[in-house]
Amino acid sequence: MARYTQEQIAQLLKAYYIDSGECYSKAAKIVGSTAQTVKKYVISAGEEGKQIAQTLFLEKATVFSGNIPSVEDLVFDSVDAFSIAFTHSDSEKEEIRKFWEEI
Amino acid sequence: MNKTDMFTFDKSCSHTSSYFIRPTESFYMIFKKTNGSFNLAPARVMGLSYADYLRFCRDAYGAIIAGKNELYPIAYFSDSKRCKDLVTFLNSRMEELFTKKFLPIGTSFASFIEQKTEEFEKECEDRSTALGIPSVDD
Repeated sequence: MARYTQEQIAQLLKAYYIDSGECYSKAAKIVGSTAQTVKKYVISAGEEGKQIAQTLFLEKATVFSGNIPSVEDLVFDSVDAFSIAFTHSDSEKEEIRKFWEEI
Repeated sequence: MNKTDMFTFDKSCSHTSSYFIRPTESFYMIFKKTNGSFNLAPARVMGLSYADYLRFCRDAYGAIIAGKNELYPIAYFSDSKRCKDLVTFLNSRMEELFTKKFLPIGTSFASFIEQKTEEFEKECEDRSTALGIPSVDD
């Protein structure tokens, strides 16, 4: 798994938890801390905040950088099949809609 | 840029000081048209849904996602080096995809692109001739 600098982790946290009380609460539940502590980190990273950020990052990293399939596992077996996939499936349209609800 | 690169990056006009990833001319020689969006190509190469690809750009490469509530949002990168890193990654996966899954065994990606370039140039020449447009050599 990729290692990130403290600055990158801070960027990640800011990308996820921009000024939202609800997001701070969710983050706090994941790492067993309080919303205030998470918010404190986002405003200025301290040692405790750094640990929270690292835990949070690993949580996310397993989804976004740990689960990228190998090329062999891709479903496309021809240029045509790959080309057809440039259109959203219905489920993907729904996923995009949910994506915007996240932020 | 190499002839075999399928993706590159450019400075954005709409998002000042940001960069975005786009397909190259070589890409368009192979994938000529779509009813969807070529923006989905990087996600397909990664084997991620488009939403997950956007999350990946944001979380691993520091991108900002623009196009609120659009079906085809775009990832914009403020750091050109990180954007270039992702482009390199996408190009290497694309080459691997062609070599391992699309092309006959023993056919190199470079020779495939070369063949496509020749076909494309001939197609352009034929069209120009049909329309009575003199070639640049004339």
